[in-house]
Amino acid sequence: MPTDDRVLLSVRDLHTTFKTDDGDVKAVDGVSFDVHRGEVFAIVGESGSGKSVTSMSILGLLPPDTADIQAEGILWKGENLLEGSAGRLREVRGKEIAMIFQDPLSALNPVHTVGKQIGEMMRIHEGASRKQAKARAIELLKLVGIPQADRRVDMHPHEFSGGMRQRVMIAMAIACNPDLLIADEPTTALDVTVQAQVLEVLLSIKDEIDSAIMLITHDLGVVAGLADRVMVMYAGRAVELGTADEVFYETRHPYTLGLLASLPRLDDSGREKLIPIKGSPPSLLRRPSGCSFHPRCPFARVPGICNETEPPLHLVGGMAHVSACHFAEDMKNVGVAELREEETLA
Amino acid sequence: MSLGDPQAAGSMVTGPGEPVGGGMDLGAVRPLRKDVWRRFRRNRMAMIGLVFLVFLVIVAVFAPLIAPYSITQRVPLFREGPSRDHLFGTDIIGRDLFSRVVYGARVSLKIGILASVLSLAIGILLGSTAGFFGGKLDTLIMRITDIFLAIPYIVLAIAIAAIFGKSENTIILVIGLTGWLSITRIVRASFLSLTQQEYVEAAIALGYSRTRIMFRHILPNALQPIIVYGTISVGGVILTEAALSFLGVGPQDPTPAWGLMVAQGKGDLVNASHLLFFPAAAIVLTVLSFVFIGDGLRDALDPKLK
Amino acid sequence: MTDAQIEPTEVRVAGSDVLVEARDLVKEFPVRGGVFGRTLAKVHAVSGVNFTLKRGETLGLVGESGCGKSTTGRLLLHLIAPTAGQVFFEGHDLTTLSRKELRKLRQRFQIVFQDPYSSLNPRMTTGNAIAEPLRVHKGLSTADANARVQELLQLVGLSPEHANRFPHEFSGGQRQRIGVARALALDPDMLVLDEPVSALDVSIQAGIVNLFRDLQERLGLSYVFIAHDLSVVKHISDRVAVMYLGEIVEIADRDDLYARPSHPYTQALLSAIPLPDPKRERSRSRIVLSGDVPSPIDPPTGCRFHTRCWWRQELEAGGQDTSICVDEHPDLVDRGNGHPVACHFAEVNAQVV
Repeated sequence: MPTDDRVLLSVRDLHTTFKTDDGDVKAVDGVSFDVHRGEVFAIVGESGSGKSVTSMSILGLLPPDTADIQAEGILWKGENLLEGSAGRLREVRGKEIAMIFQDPLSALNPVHTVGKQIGEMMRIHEGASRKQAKARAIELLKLVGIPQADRRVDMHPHEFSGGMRQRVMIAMAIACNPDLLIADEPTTALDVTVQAQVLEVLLSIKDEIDSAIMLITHDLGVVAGLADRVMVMYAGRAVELGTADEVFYETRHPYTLGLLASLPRLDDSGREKLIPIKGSPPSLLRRPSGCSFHPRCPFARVPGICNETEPPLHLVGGMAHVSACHFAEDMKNVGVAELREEETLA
Repeated sequence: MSLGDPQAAGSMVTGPGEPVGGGMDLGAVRPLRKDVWRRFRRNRMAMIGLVFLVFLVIVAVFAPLIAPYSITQRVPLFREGPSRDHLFGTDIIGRDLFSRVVYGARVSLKIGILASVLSLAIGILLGSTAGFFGGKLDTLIMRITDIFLAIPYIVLAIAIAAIFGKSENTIILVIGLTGWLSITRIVRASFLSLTQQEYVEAAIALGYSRTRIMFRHILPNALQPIIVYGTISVGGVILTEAALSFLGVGPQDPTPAWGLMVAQGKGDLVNASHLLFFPAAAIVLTVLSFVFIGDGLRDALDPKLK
Repeated sequence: MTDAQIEPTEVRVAGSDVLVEARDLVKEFPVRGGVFGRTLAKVHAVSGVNFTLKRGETLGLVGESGCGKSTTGRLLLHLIAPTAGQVFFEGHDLTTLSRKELRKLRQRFQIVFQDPYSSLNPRMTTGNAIAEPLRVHKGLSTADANARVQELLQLVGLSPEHANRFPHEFSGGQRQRIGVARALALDPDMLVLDEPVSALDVSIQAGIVNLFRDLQERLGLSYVFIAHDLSVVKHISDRVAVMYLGEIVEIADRDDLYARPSHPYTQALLSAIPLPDPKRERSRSRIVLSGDVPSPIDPPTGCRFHTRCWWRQELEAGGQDTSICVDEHPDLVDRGNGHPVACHFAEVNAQVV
């Protein structure tokens, strides 16, 4: 077991399976990663990649009758949460690990004032008095940039706009000074100008309370602006993991490269042809053999190793840049620019 | 295929003309109807309800073959308990209770189904008009339903019975004319939400007539709650009919209505409990099976569940 | 032209003539309440919008939620009637047509929706959904309609066997293609594309954008492309109009707009879009707007953007009098920026991209 005290959260070989009538759905299939103190760790993937299920599994938020969670360990500061009691998990959840959801309106209770909801966290976890809790709630609302916080604290969620609600969610999440904030698509439901505000708040909060952020998103732009390290997921597995610069500039997995190449960018001229990834993500009930990405991969050697052997994550460069592609080394010569150039020639 | 091969990159692109590949394997064609039956079968209570209902329909259809006596035939045995000759015993004036309960299935199913159809027809017409056209028409229809909701239906029932006399047909009319209120609301609500669906907007953009949009695009999608509610309401109607018969507003003797039989049996609970028990059991089982079937249909008809 | 053909009959010179014109379009939605549904207030969804769309051209309509871009799209198709103003399609004023005439003209302009899950009737097969407009408007026989359905499915990159499938059997991207095939069934001249890729996964989006570009080239279609994402718009539009609270604040040719954004809102919008490029993200300075979009029920006086305008705040800090922003509505005219801008103090800011 790792004893590196930089490591806050260590997930080892996580498997989350949903039982359905049509068979077992392996939503997360053998994922391992560490989140370090003070860093922003991003998990990127498209719908069905297992990125949200990963975070829900860590916090034990999945319905136990349909979701089966197996792992070598989910170590929180060295303590295995899988072996802990339900009570211990509740204690960690909210106090030490807090969560920010995509849709703040459904995550906030409409019948209570926001002040009461923020204060509740402190009353439960820290035994604060009603008065203390309210004073702290106002302080937190100020911290996340809500004007007239002392008046707003007595309002109900529906009286706030989308961006303001997401700030309230952040205020609630940081109420107990958590060590880790899990933000699941925190800005997906927001407009771009509001997204910029919320991301700024998120970053300043991180420094303020000195916590780590686990950012779950499909938006590579948000990742580029925020993340220190990035894990790319595809069909329930991690396919590439490294620092943001490594993943963006020294891409070693065809899926990551495909995502980058398919993205319309503001700094393009607009005349370029976008390069989609062919096909659609696989059904997790009928996962392709070998490498899950091989039916959509432009570099796959089929028939051959790609459809026969599942590629393990292996070191491809830097300190800890890993990729799950049999031909990761060959990817050194291919970048988005090369891919697009070839496309224009063809 | 090597990396950097232009054709390799080219194969990533899918343009018009060529199928998109990947994920195109959709599996075998599964017709909706088959799916519905598959999901319905999984619900055990609904299946029990369905089996009982089928049994009840057979009983109703073949009542003359099943019942050993006619509904008015008297034997000189009064308030006798169940015996070999009289499976459910005899009633206060010596009629065979088993035969009357068997024939009662006809009465209950007839009243239940016809009254439900009547209120469904009114409810669908008014609800869809209100939900589809909206505006003033909607306000008008909804205010009318509000007014009807404010009148106690028992009072209404007694009033209608006073005008048309007490018979099976009257009770169908009474229940049919009072039962449409909630159906109107349900249909209106689902029409309102379906009108907001983009495929309805697409249909308008494609220049379809309003009748086509209403009947081809909205109604089929609104049917799920209507069918579910309709099924459960048959049970409800049978219960209402029993209550009204019990109060003496329903069909009169010698009609073998279950509710009426319960009313007639209530006086002798101690000495002849079978008079109350058998018709009451018939009512409970029938109502329950309609409710269970309705419940099963609710899940089975949802196209989003696979 | 026979109905079973997809090629356009006449060669239309792109940009040579106006296909659609929106003139002073206004749409106000009543907010009703009380027992008898009295009008309590009005939502000013679209307030005086003017633009033209030429044949074969793509106009991008960009803005954040509540800016009126989708309402504008629906007004163009006369799916909702404007409170004031007119829409001309090839010179026909849609607001004066009878219901029957309108239904006929509707074949010429169609819409593709954002949500591929709600835009298809769940109880209709793909084939029926695409064949229905052909049977209704062109009176095609089942066999003819089916042949055309096969062609259309292929045109949008699906395989003909998919005609007898129901929508829930398809992925989001495939459903979006079905929606496009249905919209193309009647050979329209113009498509309003209402956020057609926003609900799709990144890797799928690019394919749909490419499909639109290809179809335009092949069929000479005109598009109004509605989106909140300025980077997608950049990849498909010839001209771009930026909307804020029911008004167009800036409209220009694509290259001009992105190279010389002149309205402070356009500038903020461009600078807020994150780039998938960590190094540039770290070095980039961002214009972060304060507050949220005001309610369209009670829009601000003068310039509707003045409550959030960063440029006005800077000018004020520099001692300049900006009361004109509060008092006077800025017209959408060329103020020496090369294209129309609705800002009293419009200045080019090329730094933001």
